[in-house]
Amino acid sequence: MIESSSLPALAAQTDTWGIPGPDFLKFYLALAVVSGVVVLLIRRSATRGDAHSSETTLDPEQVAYLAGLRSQAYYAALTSLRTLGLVATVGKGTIVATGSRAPRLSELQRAIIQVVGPGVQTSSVQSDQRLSAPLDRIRDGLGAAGLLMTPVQSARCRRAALLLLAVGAVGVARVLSAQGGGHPFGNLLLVMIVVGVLGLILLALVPARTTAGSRALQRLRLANGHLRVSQHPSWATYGPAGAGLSVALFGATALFTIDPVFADEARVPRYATSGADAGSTFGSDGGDGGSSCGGGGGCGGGGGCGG
Amino acid sequence: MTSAGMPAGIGIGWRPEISGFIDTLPSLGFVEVVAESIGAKPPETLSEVMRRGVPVVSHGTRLSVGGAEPLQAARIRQFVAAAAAVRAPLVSEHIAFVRAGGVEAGHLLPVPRTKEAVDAIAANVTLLMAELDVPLALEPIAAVFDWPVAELTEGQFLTEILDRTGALLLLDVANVYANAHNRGAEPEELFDEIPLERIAYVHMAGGSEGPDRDGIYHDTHTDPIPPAVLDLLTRLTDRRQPPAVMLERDGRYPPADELRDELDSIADHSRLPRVT
Repeated sequence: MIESSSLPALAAQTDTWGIPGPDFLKFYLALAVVSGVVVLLIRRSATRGDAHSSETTLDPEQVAYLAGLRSQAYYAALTSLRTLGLVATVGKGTIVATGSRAPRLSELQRAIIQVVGPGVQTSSVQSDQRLSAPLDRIRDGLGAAGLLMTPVQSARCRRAALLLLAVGAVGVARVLSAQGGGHPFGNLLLVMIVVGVLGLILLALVPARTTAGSRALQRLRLANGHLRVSQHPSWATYGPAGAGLSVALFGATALFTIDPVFADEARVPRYATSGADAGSTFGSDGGDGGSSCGGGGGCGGGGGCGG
Repeated sequence: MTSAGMPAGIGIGWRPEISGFIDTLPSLGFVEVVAESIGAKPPETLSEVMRRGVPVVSHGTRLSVGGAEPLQAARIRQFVAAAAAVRAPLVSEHIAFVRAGGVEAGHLLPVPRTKEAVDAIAANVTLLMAELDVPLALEPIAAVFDWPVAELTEGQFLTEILDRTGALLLLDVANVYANAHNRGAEPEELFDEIPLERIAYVHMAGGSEGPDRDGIYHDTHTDPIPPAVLDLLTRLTDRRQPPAVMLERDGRYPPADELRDELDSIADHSRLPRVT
C-alpha cells in the first residue's frame, strides 16, 4: 500500500522542471522548428538586398569589390593603372609610379599612385591606410545600392542565429537540471545538436553580398564570359577597360596573361578566383573573406556566442 | 535548299579571343565558326550571336575532301553535328587534303590538278553532301607551290568540281591573290574562268611576304589585309556582286578600332553596307 501510493509521487519528483520527458521533447521540437523557420525568414529578408539595383551602372572597381572585396578592387585598379602605363615594377617585389600626368583617375587609383610613389614593396601597398578610405567608399556605395550586405544587415543575420543558439541553451539547461539517472536524453540531444550546429553555421556564414548582389554578379560574369582567361581574350582588342573588367570579374590571375612580367614581379597572387561563384559567401571565392568584417558593427554580434 | 538565313552582307570569323568585340557589332551579317572547335553544343560565348539571330556558317578544316582516300565517317559525323549545333544555314570546307596514308600533315595541302583528283574530290563531296541538310560551299586554298603534273588550270579544276557536285563556292580573295602572285600570274584571270554566280561568300584575310622577303606571299591571317587584296575584291565586285564577304583573322588581333576599320574597308571595297 505504502509502496504503491509512493510511486506516482516519486515519478513527479524526478520530472525535471515538473514536465515529463516526452512532453518536453514535443515542446522542444516544436520550439526548434518554429525558431528555425523564423531565423531563416529573418535571414532571407536581411540578405535580400535591392533586386531593382542595376549592375550596368557599376564601374570596374565596384564590380571588383562585389566579386572579391577589397583585394580584388585593389587589383582591378592596379590593372588599369598598369595598362595606362602609370605603374611599373623595378625588379621583383618593388612597384613604382611612372608617367607624369594621369587622365581622370578614380579615388582608389590616385591613392595607389600616392602610396607607390617613388617605389615601395608590393606587399605593403594593399595594407596601406591610405587605401582604406576609397575602399570604404566603394563598399558603402555597394551597400547603399543593396548589392553588398551593410553592417546593420549582417548584424541582423547574426542576431537571428543567436535565437537558435538560445534554443540550444534551453536544451542544455534541461539536461543539466535533470536529477539522478534514468532520464533518456537521446532524442533531446539529437534535436539540440541539429539546432546548435545550424545556429553556429548561420552565425559564422553571413554572406558578404546580398542575394541581389550575387545575381547581379552572375549576370555580369555571364555577359562578360569572353573576358575569362580560358577564352584567351585578345587584350589588344579589348583594351585597358576590358583588362580591368576581366580582373574585376574573374580575379587577379588575368594579369598573368595581360602583362606576365609585371604580374610576376609585382607578386600578384596566382590563385584563381572562382568564376563559377555558386555560393553566396566568400569562403568559396578565394577572395579576402576576412574583410567582410570590415564593417565593424557586423562582427559585434559574435560576442553573443557564449550564450 | 533554302536561302532563308543564308549569310548576307559583311561578316567575320568568330574566334573566342575576340567574341566580345564581335558582340558589339550592331548589324553584323553573319559569322563563321571553325567546325572542329564546336562540340555537341556551341560555346557559351557564341550564345549572344545566336540569340541575335546572326547566321552562323560552320567551316571545316580537317575533312580532307581532297584526299585520294574516302572521308572518315567519324569526321563526317562531327562535321554534321557541329553544323546542327550552331544551326548553320550553310557549311564550307577546303579543296585540300590534310592526311594521306594515315599520316596527318597538320596543314591544308594543295591537290594536284588532275582529272583523277577531280573524280576523287567529286566522290568525297557527293558523299558529304548526302549527309548534310544544308548547302555546302567549297574553298580553293592558297598554295605556295604547284604539283608538276597539272592537267587542268586552276579555273578549270574548280569549275569541274563545282559542276560535278553542285556545291557552292567560297572564294578566298587573298588566296586568289597569293596563288597568282606566287605563280607570277594575273589574279583577275581566275575570275573569268570560274562561275562567279556560285559564290556563297567571300573570305578576306591578311598576309605578308614573309620575314625573309623571298617574294612569296604568305596567307598568314595575322596581318592586315594588303591594299592589293582589297583592290582585287573591288575588281571581283565589278564583275559580280558577292552576296557576303567576311574578315578572317586568326591571331595577333589588333585593337578594336583597327578591326572595325578593316571591316569597313571590306564593306566599302565590296559595296556592301558597313556593319560597325
